[in-house]
Amino acid sequence: MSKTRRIWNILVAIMMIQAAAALMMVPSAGFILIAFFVGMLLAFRGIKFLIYYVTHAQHMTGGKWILLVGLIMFDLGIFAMELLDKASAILIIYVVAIHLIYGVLGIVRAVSNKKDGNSGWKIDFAQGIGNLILVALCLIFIKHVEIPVYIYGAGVIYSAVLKIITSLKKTAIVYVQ
Amino acid sequence: MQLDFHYYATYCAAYLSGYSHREALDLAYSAQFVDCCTKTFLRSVDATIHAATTQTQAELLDMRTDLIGLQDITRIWASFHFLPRDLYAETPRATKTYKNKYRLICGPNGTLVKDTVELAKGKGIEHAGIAMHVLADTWAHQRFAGTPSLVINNTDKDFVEILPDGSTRPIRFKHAPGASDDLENELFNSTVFNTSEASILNLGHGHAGHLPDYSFIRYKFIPAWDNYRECLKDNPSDYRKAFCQMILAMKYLRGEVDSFETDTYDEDAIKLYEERITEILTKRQLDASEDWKAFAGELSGEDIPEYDTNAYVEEYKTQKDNSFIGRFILAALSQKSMVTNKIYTSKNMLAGFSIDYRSKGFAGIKDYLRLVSESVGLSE
Repeated sequence: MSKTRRIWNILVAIMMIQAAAALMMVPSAGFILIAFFVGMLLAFRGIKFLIYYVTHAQHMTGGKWILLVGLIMFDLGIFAMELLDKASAILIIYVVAIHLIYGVLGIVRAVSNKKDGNSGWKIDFAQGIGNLILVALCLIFIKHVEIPVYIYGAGVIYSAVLKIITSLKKTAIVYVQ
Repeated sequence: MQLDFHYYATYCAAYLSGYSHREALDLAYSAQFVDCCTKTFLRSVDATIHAATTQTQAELLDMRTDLIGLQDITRIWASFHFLPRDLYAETPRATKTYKNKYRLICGPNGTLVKDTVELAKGKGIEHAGIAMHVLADTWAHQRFAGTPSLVINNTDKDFVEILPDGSTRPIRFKHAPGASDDLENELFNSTVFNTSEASILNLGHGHAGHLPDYSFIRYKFIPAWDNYRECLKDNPSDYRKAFCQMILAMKYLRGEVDSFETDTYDEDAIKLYEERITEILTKRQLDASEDWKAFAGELSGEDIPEYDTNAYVEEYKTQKDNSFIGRFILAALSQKSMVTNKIYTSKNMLAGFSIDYRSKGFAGIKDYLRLVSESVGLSE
């Protein structure tokens, strides 16, 4: 990773932490912002897919799928942004879906790692269970919109910390003739 | 390729090239060990994880597919299992990012194969084993790349097997991780279609399942990158060429021939065994280990022990760098360093940064210090 990229990544991570903390401090406004952000994210991903189709996938076997996924994502994103009065529902669906996927994947990984004798399976298992607990919390407190805001904020902070750690790692490979 | 070829067939090729039974056994062990030396294994013996030559499915699932994670994956798979054929290949209508991936497509007889064999010259038997694994895989894994990429590694679903009588039979795929292939019903396991370009599901030949790893099969399919052109994969022919090229490469490593040139094969070495080898290569089976093992026994008159990943673990724990695994680790670091450098100097960042010690001094991952001290010590 180049120095510029490292610095950029750390700056982005710091901004992510600040934004997450701000959202968690004012959850009543935070959930609308997050819902808007989720819609934007979907629309942005849709655009990314469309660009990817033009630059990479248009001559690829099965490339039409990329075009289709891009269009649907873009459409869904715009649709979600139109429904800001239902922001709490969007937020809960998003947070539950994300953590449910990560929870199941974590447990699948743990089982596989345990089979391979990798001691890291306990961490995967704990992460999987942790994610499923977050899903349960969201569903139990479905009327309290601040809960998914806290969960979302904590997730953003966790990603930011990982970004900083990755940026500080030495990664270059040494070559000797 | 799998254990049958990397262990037993490599033993046969090594023996035919002139190595003794013991040397051929160690060389074949090293060639197969490339498929077992994971980060999980290296952690379990307290060795550097940067010498990993492969990854388990669980390890791949654990990887973050950010820039650093993708570079790590690419270094492992491009260096040891999908050696790029042409790092400067051109393709029409392509952006720079597409071209970088296109240039990592694996294939036989590229300059990097020559570099790999030459790098192993004058080094230990462990290094020769790694080189033979890499060389053999250039034949089996051709048309796929050792980096996660949908636009390169995707395939159409209409695979067709060409049977020995010339008739064809459609191949079907299922997506059940861990399930074995069903030859009788032509039902093979493959990875599921995933629209994410950098998903680990789009690494290597996952979309073609284990078809590239079976020596008997001949089939047609359309790779993602070749403008809808159907290609024929003739494994019996490719595996035969791999076998003959390995013999030539090992003769070079032993000093019996002066140079190793690509696209040359030691056909003479197998003349006496032509029929036997063809019989093994074309036999319709998922694992040819028993047949190769029997042939190996016929060649050397020795019994070939079953492959055991942990055979040298105790030795490594007491003797570290002076053990089989210690020397394997050094050889793996050397191969990874060489391939990463070649990719980096072709202005392709998919395998990450490479720092030339001779011009820039030591920087980067500190576990490579051992490689530096070994190489500098050798040259001075």
